[in-house]
Amino acid sequence: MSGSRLLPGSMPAAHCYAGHQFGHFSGQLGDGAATYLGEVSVGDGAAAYLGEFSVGDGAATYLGELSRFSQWGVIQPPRNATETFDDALRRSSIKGGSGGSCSSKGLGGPPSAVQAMVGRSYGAVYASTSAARPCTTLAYPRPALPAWSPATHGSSGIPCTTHTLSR
Amino acid sequence: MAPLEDLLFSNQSLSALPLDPIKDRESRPVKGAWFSKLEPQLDPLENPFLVSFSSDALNLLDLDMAQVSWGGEHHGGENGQVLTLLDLG
Repeated sequence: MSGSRLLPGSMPAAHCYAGHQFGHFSGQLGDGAATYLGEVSVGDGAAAYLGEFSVGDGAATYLGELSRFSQWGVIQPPRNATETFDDALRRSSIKGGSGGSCSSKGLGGPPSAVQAMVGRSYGAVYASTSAARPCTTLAYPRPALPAWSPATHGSSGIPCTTHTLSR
Repeated sequence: MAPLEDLLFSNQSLSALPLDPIKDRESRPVKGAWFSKLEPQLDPLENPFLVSFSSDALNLLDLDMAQVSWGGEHHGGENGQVLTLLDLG
């Protein structure tokens, strides 16, 4: 869940980061990356898609290493001297993660669930947001909702266009 | 419950959709491809701890929370304080 090792059978691949903003499909979002970790069959012909998502900060990680998938746009620095990085991480990650799940439900499709969020200990060093680890996410299209194929939502909405990807 | 390592990956999309044929890792446009395969270099976290989880998502994979946490420990933070573990549903 923390991206510290690969599961047997996982085949990581980078994919353009895209999705909905303000009620419309917006195509590529910044220079971030979606990272496909693999699919797990869950019965009834459905598959669960495991992946990670990172939002670019000018040095995004489309072709970067898993260790650099940590630059996640919703991670915000501590608000003040008394707020720890863990407080900030939980506040911003949970807002982003739960917001994503809710917006997916609001669009009428099956949600992409944030499967787990993982933190780490920092000691006194928390100035760099690049050390924050994002979530492992899980998208699960359900057969009962055929309109929601992975090809119609999120990063899969622009599968074969030309997109500029930075590392 | 199946152990995490026993998840059966099928990866149909990866085998069915166009792959980026270029291995170059420099910044560049990627044309007509869905995926670019990665050969990740893993950088394990120090002292990771679980912040939240989704019971729906874990149930779908036939996993339970104990399998994505670390020995049931939910302690973390700068001083090892107990964190409230959130289930996002």
